[in-house]
Amino acid sequence: MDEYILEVRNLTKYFGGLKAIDNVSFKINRGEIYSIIGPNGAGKTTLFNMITGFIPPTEGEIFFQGQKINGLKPYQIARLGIGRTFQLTTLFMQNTVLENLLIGQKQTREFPVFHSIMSVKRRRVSQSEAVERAHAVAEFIGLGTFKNTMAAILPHGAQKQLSIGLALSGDPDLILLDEPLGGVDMDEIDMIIELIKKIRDEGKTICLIEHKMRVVMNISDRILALSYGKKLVEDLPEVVASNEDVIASYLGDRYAARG
Amino acid sequence: MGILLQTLINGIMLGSVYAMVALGLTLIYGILNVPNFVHGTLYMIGAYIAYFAIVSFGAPYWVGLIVSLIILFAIGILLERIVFRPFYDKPLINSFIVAVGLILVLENTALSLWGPEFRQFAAPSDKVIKVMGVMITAQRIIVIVTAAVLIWLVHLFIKKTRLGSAIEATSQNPDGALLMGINISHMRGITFGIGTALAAVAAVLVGPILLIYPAMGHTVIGMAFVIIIIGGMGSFIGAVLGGYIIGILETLVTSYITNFFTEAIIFGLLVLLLAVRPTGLFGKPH
Repeated sequence: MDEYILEVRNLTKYFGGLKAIDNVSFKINRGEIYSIIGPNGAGKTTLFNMITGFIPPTEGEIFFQGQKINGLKPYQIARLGIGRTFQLTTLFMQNTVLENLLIGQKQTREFPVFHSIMSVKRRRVSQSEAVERAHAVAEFIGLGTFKNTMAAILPHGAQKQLSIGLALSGDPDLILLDEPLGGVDMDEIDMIIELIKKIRDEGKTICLIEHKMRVVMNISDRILALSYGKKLVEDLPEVVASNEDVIASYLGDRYAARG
Repeated sequence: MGILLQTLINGIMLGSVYAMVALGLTLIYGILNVPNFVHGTLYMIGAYIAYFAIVSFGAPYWVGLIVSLIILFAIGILLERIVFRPFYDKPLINSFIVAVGLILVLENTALSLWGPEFRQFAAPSDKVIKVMGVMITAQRIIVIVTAAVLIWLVHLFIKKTRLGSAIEATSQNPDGALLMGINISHMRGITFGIGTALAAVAAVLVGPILLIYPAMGHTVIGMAFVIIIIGGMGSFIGAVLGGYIIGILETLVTSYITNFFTEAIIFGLLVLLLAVRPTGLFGKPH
């Protein structure tokens, strides 16, 4: 098996005249927590959007498990095994926690239209499997007691947990988390950090965008720092934290003040 | 008592038609995010297709109904693919104008091809059933039962099949659906097809009772809008219950109060309801 789960090669993205991502290359190892940091507008979310097929790169290539994925549609990339959360939580708000998780369980594999309508018996078997897995994911993400609560009325932290659960529901190998701690209360932060570690311990690879530096420095195996779309440095947390360019462009007072 | 019962049955029948048209409209609303104004025109085309199948080709009534259902399902998919899909990422007003433009195109095509005259096709059965002193034609029972069965089937389809849950997910949250591995383009097409086919079936069901002409969709679509607003935009149960409520209400008002201001009274109720519940009966605030 390939040592790298994801390889990004010379990726560039223009929005009109603006170079949002400028010739960025990196590789993510299987099983690690790989974080992407950088000031607002550095191109972190743009990178996620290209990896998951929501926007096409202007130049460059993306390989997942050795297979070229740029040019594929978002749903095709999701089916290959990349899960993702959005910065603004993306849930099926009118459905319960369990129903949310079921939607993902049911859609992970390609299914022909007529098969799903006609073959009732086979569908039922996979239906009960799907329900079982949805329950398991609900417990795993710590929302076991909220299974029948509508997503719209969950507290913000629980919504974040559920969005991670949705990203997990297709049993992906790589999970991209876009600011999972954004706007979350202090006491909910630890819960989500534990969840991220638990996901890694399940053998999954995590790519994380996060602004809370103390968390990033603690949790990450390696860090990529971006600034104005360019790669500043990619290294172990302590190396990145002491890199002068990084401190100047981003960490500066934030990290210095806390650390 | 006899008259009240008769009126109620007529109301339920009208409500069945409204419920089916409004259900199609509300399903498609979940995709377009604007009301699909051309829905009433497609209802009209559904009636004409059944008319030609039954009257010109001598097909039995039920064959005409199924032919119309299949053709309008295909037309719905085609319209979504060719006409509406290019506008999803554009401002909502664009889809809105496109739908209104389509009414002009389709209705005038119908007018020039088939003329303005009223047409009608025969009911599959002209039996009259006597219940509690009330005479009910078989067709009215056919309308009520077929509509109820079909609405129930659509409900089961959305709640119990994978395809249905993918459709629901797509209408609630397209980006989220993509992340779940759902091909949202296919789902949008299928939803359009189902919504349009529902309108066609409604038109064929009332074909033997009402008249078929190029502008026949106007009153129905006007009421269907009121219904999905009352029920709550995009709500399945709101469209169905709203359909029956408005159908019965309209019939009661017409029989007992006045024949002239029916629509004004219904729209007045809409205004009152929206003052109290701006999102409709089953609508959720965004």
